[in-house]
Amino acid sequence: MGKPTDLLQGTLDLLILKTLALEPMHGWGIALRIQQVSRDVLQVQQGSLYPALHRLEQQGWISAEWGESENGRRAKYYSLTRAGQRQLALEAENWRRLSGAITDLLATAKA
Amino acid sequence: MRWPARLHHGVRGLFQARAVDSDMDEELQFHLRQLASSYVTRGWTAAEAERQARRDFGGFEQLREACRDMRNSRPLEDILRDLRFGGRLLLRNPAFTIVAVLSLMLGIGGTTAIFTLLNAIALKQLPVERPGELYVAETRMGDTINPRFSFPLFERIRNNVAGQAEAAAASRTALMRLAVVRSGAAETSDVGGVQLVSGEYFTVFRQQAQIGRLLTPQDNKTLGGHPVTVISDGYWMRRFGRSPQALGASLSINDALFTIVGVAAPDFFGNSIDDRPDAWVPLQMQPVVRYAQNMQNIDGKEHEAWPPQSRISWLAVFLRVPDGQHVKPVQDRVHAAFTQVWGEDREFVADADGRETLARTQVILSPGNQGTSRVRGRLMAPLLVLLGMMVLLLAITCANVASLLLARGTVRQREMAIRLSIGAGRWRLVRQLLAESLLLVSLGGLLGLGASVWGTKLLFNALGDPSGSSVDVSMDWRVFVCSLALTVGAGLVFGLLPALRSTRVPVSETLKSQARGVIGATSRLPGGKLLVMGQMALCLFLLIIAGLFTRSLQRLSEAPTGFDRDHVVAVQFDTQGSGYKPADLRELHRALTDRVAAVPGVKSVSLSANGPLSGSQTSSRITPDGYTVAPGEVVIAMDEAVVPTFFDTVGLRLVAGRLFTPDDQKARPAPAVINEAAAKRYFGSRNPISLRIGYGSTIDADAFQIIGVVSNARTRDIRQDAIPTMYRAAQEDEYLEGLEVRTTGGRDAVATALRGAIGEAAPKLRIISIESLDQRIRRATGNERMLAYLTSTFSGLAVLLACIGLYGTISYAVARRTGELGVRVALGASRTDVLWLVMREAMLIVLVGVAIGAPLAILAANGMAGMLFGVKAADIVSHGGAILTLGVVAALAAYLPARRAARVDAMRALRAD
Repeated sequence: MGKPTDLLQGTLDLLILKTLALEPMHGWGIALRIQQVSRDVLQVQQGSLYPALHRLEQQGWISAEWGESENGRRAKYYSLTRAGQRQLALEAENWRRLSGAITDLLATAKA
Repeated sequence: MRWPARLHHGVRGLFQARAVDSDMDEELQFHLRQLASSYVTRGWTAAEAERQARRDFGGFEQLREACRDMRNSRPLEDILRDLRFGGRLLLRNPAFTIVAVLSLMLGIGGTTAIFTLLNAIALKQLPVERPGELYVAETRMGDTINPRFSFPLFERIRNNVAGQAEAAAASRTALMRLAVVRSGAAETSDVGGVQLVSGEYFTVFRQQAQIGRLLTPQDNKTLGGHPVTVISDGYWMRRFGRSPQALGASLSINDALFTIVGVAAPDFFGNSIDDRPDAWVPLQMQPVVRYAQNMQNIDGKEHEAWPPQSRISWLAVFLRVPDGQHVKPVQDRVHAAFTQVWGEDREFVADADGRETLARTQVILSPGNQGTSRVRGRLMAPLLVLLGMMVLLLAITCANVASLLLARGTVRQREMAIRLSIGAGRWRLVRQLLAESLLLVSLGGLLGLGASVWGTKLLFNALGDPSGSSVDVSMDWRVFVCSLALTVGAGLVFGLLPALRSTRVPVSETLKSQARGVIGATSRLPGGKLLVMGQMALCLFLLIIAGLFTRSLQRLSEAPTGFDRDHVVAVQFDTQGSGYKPADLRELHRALTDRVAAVPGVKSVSLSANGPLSGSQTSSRITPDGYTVAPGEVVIAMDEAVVPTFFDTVGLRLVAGRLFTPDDQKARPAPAVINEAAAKRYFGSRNPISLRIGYGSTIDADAFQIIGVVSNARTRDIRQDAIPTMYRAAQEDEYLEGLEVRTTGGRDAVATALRGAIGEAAPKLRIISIESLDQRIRRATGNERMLAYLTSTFSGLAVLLACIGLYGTISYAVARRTGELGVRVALGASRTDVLWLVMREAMLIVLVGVAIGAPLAILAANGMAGMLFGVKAADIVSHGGAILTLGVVAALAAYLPARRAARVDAMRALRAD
């Protein structure tokens, strides 16, 4: 596998929440989706993914239930709760501010 | 929304940990399979895909742990799991568990029991409002402390401090005959405690009546004029079943009728923790209830009413100084009152000695928040010693459990290494090992707390002090805190070290190495060795201290008392309290003597004012003929009135001159017999016979003439050499409250017969005690006896525990060195060589222990010199005996594993690697 890009603390939460905002999904699907959407730039290791999922569930931002996967296996599906939607909005806003600030900084540095 | 969800997950995590875990496993498995099938779709074979997926996935266990860590319930969940696991392990080693729990129970229980007692006599406060405001007054002259004041002096104190503090006075609690009088007839009387108090007493202690009213200053105006009493809650319940009809009922106290005006609050027991009255009466009633004890008399008239006399001191004075106010000014005013009252006594200050006494006496107010106590001063020091020794014993116990855990930890090194390598955090393992210790120590602590209830009672019996029995030894928060602190402390002490050590494992080395007998491997357990050295030091310390106390007791038992302790039974009466007037005494004394002399087994009978070792004595200032008084010296002799048969009965030898005859009672000048100590001290080389001794500072017509000298006897304190004593012929109207009997046969039978005979001769006469002089000595040496027995028991246990520790450590070392020993044997070492090799190691440990323990013991013993009798801190016998005992027992404990080492079979030992 290619060299993974380290994710900022908290960024993974944002990615998971955003992914789940589209539709309920299992852990494998989340990892796959993040990889596809980011065109392989972002790769989520299971070592960070599952603890993060369990933490988010503990926080009450996502909830889980068992369902059947595309290939007929039993899988645990996560979906966004209402608190999770609020959290997503909050974190997305934070991210935009942060990345905007960094972009501005880089632009000034270049000039 | 968030909280319920969290709560739900937490609860589910805690109670369905297994279900949650299996959910998680399934989820992770699903991921793994998806990963594998993604490789299959890229054209890999199923087996290859599976392998690659696993490789990608990494440590499955670590991931599981990481997910578990995200749960809220994690800490609790872990603790429960640890406790379950620890419990299973403990059950698997029942012998270890039982030994550990029992020794912890003993250590924690014993310490808690001693602490409970200390708490009861020295830490608990009186259950009254703001006890911190209370003070007790006492006078000090040099080393002499006197807590008693006369009533006129108390009144002056009260008036002097008015506005700054409140003052109250109270007598000791005296045993008196109490009987409830209903419809004119007295019920059967019993003996109860009565305390005489001033009218301010209940106010100073901020008491409210439960029913009726308490005593007030109005109840203490005129001598003998206030027949009212307040009874205690206990007496109210025993005699009246808490009926309100008690109010207004009549109570007969030593044959005088009193009206019950109120009942004190349920938790109020007076000012003394071990001297609790059933009834309180105004102190102006002293002559009516015939209170006559615990008094200091400086030429006062003992047989007349006490309250008006300033020369009879019999009252404790309590002061309440409001919070935030300084005590010093109050103390100064009390001192001023003292100087005024004595200064107004013309006769007293006319004497140079009197003036000097007055100038040198200080009045001190000491904190009274814990109330007064008869036993506190006597028991504090021994209890502190016992507490210290018990804590050391507990430390030895902890060290033992620690070294057992340590040894086991080393056995479990492979298990630890495996668990670390598959992803357990070190902290997680430490916690788990701690949980095991925690289980052990909580079991021990819980059992110990239970055992301490019983231990406290046992300890009280060991003290053998009847006056201690009314001390409230119930547990309070302090006892629980102490017990909890001990438990937690012990658990951490013996749990943490082994837990930290046995989890510090070099993983790969441990897993690779199968070797059991690496040469020089003994150095792998320095922690264990240090523990055993410490144990040996503490153990020797305890042994030496126990030896010193035992030798003290032995010396004390062998001390020359001067009287015949084995054949004399002594009786003490309360003649005055029983209502006998001086005019009745001639008849009473004759009846007693005749009746008792007729008891089978009685060889002779005598009467005395106090009696030997009775705890009651009279000292008088005297002027011996021709003796030059040094400046500032107060010439004092014990002053005892006896009948002629006294000396033969008690076993005193005539040294010079003659003893009393019946005619001496009326002879003038009055004859006196002195003891050798008095002869030596006051007459030196002169022959004292027919010389004179006067009372006070003059030799006048009333002075005594010495007719004989008798042998010395330690009649006051068994620990001190005989003090100068003057015996004089008892007069007909003199109260003789001691009776001595010389017996031929069994003391117990005689004691029973005596009680009967006295009862027939004088049915009204209250007997305070009947005991042999030997019993009196035993009672007087109760502290020494208790210290010797308990410290011996403690040190015996300590030796046992420490040697178990030594045995374990050496056995373990031998087991580890089997390979090395095998090599030595193969190279030609003899059995004796191997035996010595092991023994030397053990003896080195003991030697280090001795080198540390003995100097510490000398230091400690120097601090306890006041409790030792006839034995020095560096006593050779105690030290030698302790070292020998420890050496022998330790050698035995080391010999067993050493012998095993000597039998090592070279071939088998080497093949085992």
